[in-house]
Amino acid sequence: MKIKRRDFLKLSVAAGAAATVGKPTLNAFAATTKKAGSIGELPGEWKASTCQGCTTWCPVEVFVQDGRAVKVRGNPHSKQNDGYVCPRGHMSLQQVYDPDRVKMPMKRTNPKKGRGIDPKFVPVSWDEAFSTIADKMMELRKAGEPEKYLLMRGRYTYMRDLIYDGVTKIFGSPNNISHSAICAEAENFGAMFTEGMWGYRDYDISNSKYLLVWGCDPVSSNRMIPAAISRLGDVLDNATVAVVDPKLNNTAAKAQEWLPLLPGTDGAVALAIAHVLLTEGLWYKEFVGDFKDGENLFKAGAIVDETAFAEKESHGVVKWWNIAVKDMTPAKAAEISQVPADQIIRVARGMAKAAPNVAVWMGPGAAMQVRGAYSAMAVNALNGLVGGVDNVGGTLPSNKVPVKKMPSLSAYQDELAKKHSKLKKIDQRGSKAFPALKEGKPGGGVVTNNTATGILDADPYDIKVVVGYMNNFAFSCSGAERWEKAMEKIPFFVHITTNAAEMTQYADIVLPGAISKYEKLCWVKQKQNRYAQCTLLQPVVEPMWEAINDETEFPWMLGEKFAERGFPNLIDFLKKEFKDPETGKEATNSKEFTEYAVKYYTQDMWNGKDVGGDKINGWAEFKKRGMWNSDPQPYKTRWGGKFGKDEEKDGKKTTKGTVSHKFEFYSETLKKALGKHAEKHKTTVDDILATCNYTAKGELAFVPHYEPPFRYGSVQEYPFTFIDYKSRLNREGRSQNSPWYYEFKHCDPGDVGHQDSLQINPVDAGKLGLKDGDAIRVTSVVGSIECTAHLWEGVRPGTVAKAFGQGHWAYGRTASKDYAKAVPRGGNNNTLMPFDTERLSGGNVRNGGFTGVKIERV
Amino acid sequence: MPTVVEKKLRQSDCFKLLAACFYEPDREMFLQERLCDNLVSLFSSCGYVPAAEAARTMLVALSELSDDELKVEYARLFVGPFELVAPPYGSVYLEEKKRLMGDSTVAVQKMYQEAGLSLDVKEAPDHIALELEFMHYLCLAESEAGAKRQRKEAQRLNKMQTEFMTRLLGPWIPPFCENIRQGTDNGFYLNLADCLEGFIQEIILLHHPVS
Repeated sequence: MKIKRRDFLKLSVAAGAAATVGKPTLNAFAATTKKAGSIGELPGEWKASTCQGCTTWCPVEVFVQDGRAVKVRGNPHSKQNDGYVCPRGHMSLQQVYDPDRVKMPMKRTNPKKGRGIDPKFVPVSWDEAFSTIADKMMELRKAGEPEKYLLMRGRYTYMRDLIYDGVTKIFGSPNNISHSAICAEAENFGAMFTEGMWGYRDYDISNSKYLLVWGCDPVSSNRMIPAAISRLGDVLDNATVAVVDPKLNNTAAKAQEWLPLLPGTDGAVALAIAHVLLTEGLWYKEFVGDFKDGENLFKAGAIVDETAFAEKESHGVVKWWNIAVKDMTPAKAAEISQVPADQIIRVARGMAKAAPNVAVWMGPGAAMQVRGAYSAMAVNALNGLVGGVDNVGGTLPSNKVPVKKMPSLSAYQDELAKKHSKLKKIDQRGSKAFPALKEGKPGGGVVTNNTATGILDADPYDIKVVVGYMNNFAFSCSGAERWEKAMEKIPFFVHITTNAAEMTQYADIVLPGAISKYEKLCWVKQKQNRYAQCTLLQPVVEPMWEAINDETEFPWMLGEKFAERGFPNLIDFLKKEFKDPETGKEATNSKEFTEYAVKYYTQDMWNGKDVGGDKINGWAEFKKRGMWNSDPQPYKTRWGGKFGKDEEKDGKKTTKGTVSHKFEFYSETLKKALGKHAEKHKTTVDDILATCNYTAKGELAFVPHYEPPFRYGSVQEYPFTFIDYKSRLNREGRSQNSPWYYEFKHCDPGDVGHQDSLQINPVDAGKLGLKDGDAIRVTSVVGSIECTAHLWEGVRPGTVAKAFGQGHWAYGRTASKDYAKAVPRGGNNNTLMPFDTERLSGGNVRNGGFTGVKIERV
Repeated sequence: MPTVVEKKLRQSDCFKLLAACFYEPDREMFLQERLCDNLVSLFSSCGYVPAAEAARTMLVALSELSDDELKVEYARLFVGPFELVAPPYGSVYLEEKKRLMGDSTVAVQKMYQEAGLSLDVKEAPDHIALELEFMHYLCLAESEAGAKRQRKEAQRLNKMQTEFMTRLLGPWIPPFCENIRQGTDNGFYLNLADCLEGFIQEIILLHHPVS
């Protein structure tokens, strides 16, 4: 905050002079015409917005009184959350009013970068900040190397197009890198190469008769939290709930069955369930089909003649049986996973009895493993076997949300931009070791965590200017310390963020980002309970400080500075392509632009066009309601050979979904994708799989199968297998500076308030001589952290569990113990977990017991 | 002997110049406008000895420190972007959860409004510079009323000062100043803490006369 007028420093009464009372010199105040006494007396108002504390993206309302946000609830119009929010929704109040927020643009004055080194930030004007950024970027264009600009995207809204594609591609870089692969890309892989959908599923749990939750905790994470919280009670009454998870999570604590498997053995348990369903003739015949003569030939260990079976909606069930299932008896799976064989059989029979009203809810725990791609496929294949796919009480795709597409950029890309935005990307996707087969396309997906490798090795080239928004890879990616080295190497880094964190430690310019839910205008889409939604994030309160909308205002302000430097392409694109759809006016500033752009994307839901779902009469009503609900998602939309579709565009033939157009137990789609990747690198699929750390050879590569878990650290030296899990209080990694985070930490089963706990089974603790509350050091092959031992039976002996979230060495007053000395509060799980990826999807590895640890008392 | 009106005017200036010290520093402007010299003479003329002593040391520090040193330290103490060493917001000290925009902040806003003022900067309403400036305004307004012999108005304004000082500003000054003292060895800000605390103690006494 600057002194606006020099007069403010003058004395009202000069020394020695007679006092004469003059007009007050005010700097921060102005005379008001507001009626006195109105503060604290006017009624408040519920204002619609959206919570982005997790990816449920709940439509919410915020109660605002005297310009102050005081309470949060679900949007009553929402068919997703029924008007309720989860604990995260409330916690956000402590974020918006966090005194440690970034308050103004700042620049680094200490050129030396590193952990514990004071960057010596000082405030700068917006003009200076953006001029500096534009100069640095334009230098790259002048040198003919715009590809050396990198955009790192963290938590986004759907206004992402503008900063992610718009800025990057018009500028001329291929390097728009998303955080997506540290989310759950391997989970999407499982759905893609069975049911042809690279995306998260919806779950019709209100109608489920059997709910098998696998590697997640729906009441605390995984995209429909308030809906799951309010429905779980009824589901427990009307259906059987079984949870596969090495740790007793919230849902498991309430469920009828808990299957605490050894981390990383998911594939074995899934195949064993399939084995029971097939050998006992319990598969859902209307979906999978049946033996032509009615006799079940699936006998343990026996090869079955493919021609004896007539499939309906699926493809390759017999092949799958022959290649991967026939030998995975419950007894064998029990030996591998430590889940009792009789429990596996019981669960399989229970599912069969409830079929087809069965939902297998797969979460990242089943997938985000070094060899997790095939586990994810195996778990999702069960949805096919019981016919729960696209069915009542099962798993569903999403209804369409009728939003506009981003306008074409090509008219605004010059030759340099066109050429250089097609160069190889810094995350090395599509290279032999990183197939990243999103949508079945080699190199189609992002390998977020490998970006650090690209930067460190300057491969394919060196990166010179980086902009990151709402991300903190130096904390949130496994092998976090690698990112510190990578960040040290970047010559110029701009961080747009609400709170300075580990990555900000390396920033040259810090820009204050608006807090989603309270200060941003943008939109997101999501689906739950059969309803898709489009919901607005809106500025329900005035930000206390000048914060910008990262995805819209940053591009605009940068575009203006580019134009001043003779490169108007970006600002022209934003002005001309995002005119106000109602008046046709071009925006004249970043706020207007933001509103016009949101209107542009969402217009079909409020401009009178019949797109189904809620009828909304105009933009004003849309803003007031804050959201649009689709019609309910119909069932069986992809039955009848519609799991895939061949398309032809510009003479190019492609397939959307599965190659066979059926639900694939034998994945022709994966066969094609892996084949393409192998061909590109002039090698075999076997070689690709070996390069990607898989053991499968031959036909096994194309079916859901069991892969033995990969573990860093020998059992002799690192006897405990580490389980990382997500706290129900983690708000996209931005809640650790909120006091409530610590006060209510005990709402995660096995956790203790005001403590960073490593949960350890009392039997193991006894062997180590550890007592509850002992300070301990946990060490893996890559790093060491300190935290507190908590003795708990909810983890099986030999495994230990810890919630991700604490351990910040650079953050605010509450999250870090001592920022100046870089002393963390608690320990970061990503210090223990080595850098690795599930390479077929690009997914960051954090599950599957890949980290061995040893424990010592401090 | 200064008159009552003159005394109030001087107090008003003390508040204003102290408020200025909590804005982003501009060394050249501070020196040109003799900020610290004026603080010294104001405190001395009011008989606020410890505050005057501290202001004298601030003056020395200001002449010795560079603009960059001042700016870096100012940011570290009061702006961030990481842990705020000395959060300059009342609510951090007055609210149980140390968040901003608590009930104490609403009370502060209500008083601003009652005084006919609204914020003209992008900052939380209970920032130290704003609260000090508000006291400057109330003192000035009181002296104006005094000069015009509007006794009731002067009393009303004095009562507002008592309420603001004893309930909303005074209570958080000691822990705030302690945070500065514990968190810096920068001569300007170290002594600013002493100066502020010394001055506020004197003002609190005025509003709580020893019986």
